[in-house]
Amino acid sequence: MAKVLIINLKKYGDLFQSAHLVNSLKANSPSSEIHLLCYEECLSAAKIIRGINKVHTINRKKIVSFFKNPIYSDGLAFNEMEKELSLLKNATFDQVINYSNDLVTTYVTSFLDEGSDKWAGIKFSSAQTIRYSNQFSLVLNDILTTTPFTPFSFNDVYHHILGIALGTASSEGTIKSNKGHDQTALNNLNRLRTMKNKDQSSVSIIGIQICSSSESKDIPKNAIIEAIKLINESDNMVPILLTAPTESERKRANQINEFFENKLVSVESDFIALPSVLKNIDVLLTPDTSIKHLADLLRVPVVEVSLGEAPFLKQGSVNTRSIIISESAHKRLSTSDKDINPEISGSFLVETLKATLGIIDLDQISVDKNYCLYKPTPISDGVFTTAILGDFSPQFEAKRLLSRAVIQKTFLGTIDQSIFELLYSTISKSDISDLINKEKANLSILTKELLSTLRGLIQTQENKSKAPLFIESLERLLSKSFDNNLSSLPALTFRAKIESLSSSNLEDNFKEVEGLLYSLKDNVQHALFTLQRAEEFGYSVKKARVQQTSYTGPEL
Amino acid sequence: MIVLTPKANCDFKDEEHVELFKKINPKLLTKDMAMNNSCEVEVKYSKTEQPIPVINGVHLHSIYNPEREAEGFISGNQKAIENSKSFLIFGLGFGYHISKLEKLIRSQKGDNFKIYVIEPNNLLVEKWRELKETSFSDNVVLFNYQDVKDFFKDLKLIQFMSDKPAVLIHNASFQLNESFYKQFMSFHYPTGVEDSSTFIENEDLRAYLLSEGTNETTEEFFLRIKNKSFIKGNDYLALALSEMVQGR
Repeated sequence: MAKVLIINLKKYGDLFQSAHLVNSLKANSPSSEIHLLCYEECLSAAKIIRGINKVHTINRKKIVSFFKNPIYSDGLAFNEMEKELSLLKNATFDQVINYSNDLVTTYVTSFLDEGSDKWAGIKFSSAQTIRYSNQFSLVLNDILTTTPFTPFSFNDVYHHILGIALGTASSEGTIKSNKGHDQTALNNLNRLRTMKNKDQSSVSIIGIQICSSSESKDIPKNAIIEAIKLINESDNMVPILLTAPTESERKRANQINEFFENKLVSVESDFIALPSVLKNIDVLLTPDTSIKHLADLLRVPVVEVSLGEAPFLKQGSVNTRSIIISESAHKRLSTSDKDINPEISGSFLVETLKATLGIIDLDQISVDKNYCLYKPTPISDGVFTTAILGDFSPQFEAKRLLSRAVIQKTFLGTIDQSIFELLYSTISKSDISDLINKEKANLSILTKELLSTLRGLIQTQENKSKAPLFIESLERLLSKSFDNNLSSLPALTFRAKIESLSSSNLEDNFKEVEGLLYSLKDNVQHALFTLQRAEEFGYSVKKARVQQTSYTGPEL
Repeated sequence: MIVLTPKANCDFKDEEHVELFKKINPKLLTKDMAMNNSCEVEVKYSKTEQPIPVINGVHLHSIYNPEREAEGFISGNQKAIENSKSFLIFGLGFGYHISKLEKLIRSQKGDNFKIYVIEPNNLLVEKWRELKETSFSDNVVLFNYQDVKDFFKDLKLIQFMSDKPAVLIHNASFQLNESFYKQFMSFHYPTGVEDSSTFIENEDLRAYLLSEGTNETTEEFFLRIKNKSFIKGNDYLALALSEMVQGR
């Protein structure tokens, strides 16, 4: 029986997201004993995840308060931190998973796993350089944080790090709920359905979550009000407001309810009751990632309105019935002011909800200017968030798909053909062809820099005075990792490995650097191979099935 | 009646207030504490025949009816009392206000509450114990030290304060020992590793903290560990803590 510790020191959304991994671990090894270490403030969320045998907590708020508040001795913070971690240090785990991949978690992972090397993800060596458990931990730590393409969601990468497939939830589901609450929610929501139409089966309940973790991510109030008006006017939809039991959310719900003479149903629930509510609605409209993940785990379709700084491609949904409304990815990355969102209309929100419910087709949605729709699409190694409608950049989206194929070829050795199918079904052949030609040219430039660096290294080994020239060419090569093109993928992998060399003195590491340069050369070849395969796949496609302007969406 | 909110309580760093106080009477900060602790506690009896402590001529409860005065203490702190189950009271007096609060809270919220009382005057505490006019359940804990720092060495009190209790001030006690309570509210615990180590229960961690000398502050300690070329064991723990408190 494997004993696994997942360290997840982030917030509710990440905690719920890690439930997919818990589910997969259990599906792969039902007898495994799973422990979770999280912050105490997230305990209520952790408790509803099925499959976790024990939750350990660090009281972050108390520790920070002990440290920052001058009335307390800093020793109290040390003491509090040590108390929980020493228990875990003395326990034996078969695997310690660094899930949150931040500095605190990485130091904690290094502390708990010191000397045993059973970690998954990243940890620090004694020289404070990064150690990767496998190549996908490098994808998580270096590629996803640097490239704009987001070839993988976090969820898919974590599954690759552990080398396990996305598990199917047990019949009980991944999230616990109280049977009494389930029945109460069902009864109350059915009553609402009947009030709308005697045939309650024809009525859909639309759950509307009105608050997110920051104001810049919230759906504007006027859009919510317009959407609710339209939902109320329909024959077959009923809106309910969903709020957490906090003063600020209550206030926001009341402000919206005032427009409807306080006739809207507003459901206030904590994490114990929320699953029961979500299970009994038909679709959720939300700007919030934590409730989105929860709905995802409960297999409730979601219309996620991703605004502000929300990393929607990394935190992607897995439910293929869900739709994400966002500015196109390439625009969000280039916009410096994340607090200003383009205007969004209630009618656009309602049409998207209707399409999710199957009341209208996707191509009947009038997408607001500057927005587009993304949809989770299953592929062999997870789920890809595909742009399907609206104002997206075909070449940027093609880059995202090709970058996933490049990483698969580089780190798995094979390419999932469904990526190419998705590529040619969503992007025009001419756009793909243009992109492939540009990317080949970029890879050619990278190859030149690589050869120049290799030459510099060989000359330096023969004559130390050539070192400055070598360093200069190495710096040029490393700078390629910041280019916004596919050649940055092998360059980033190279940079990450250079940075994790144990000595900071390059002269001490000539042999290792030489090995890494040859490895980079191989990775450039993998990228070129991927582009060639994509090209060949295109030749076999007689005609691009869908043009961007008339696209009706892939079969999902 | 003064009520500090729980938020105010967790930010006991009203330095400007103390500085102002020092300007008004520079000597008073040390003077009144010493004076009050050595002053005899005179006992008078109210019209309701209940004992009243009098220190330096200051009556700590109403000479007419201390029970009714305690009701005023409750009504003046009504909002804080409604919203909390943990209370830190500045001033024991002879406990009429505490007794009244305890009864009220128990009737409203059951047995799940805590009342911690800060009282710097040990002669007053002795007299209260001697007379036994009021008594409390185990939910009420009295802390009686003369040195402010000693309060902040008491782990039980620290744990309680970190949960952000509502602070209720017994006005007469506060006025009598104003400088003490201001020192209490603006207290800064020394940040040196030696002082810090006294709070660490784990012997290995305590030894680790002191292994490189005792003169550095915790900030300097963190910086030194961060810059080490080789780290191991508790270094990882220290760096995790360092990153956590910086909000990373």
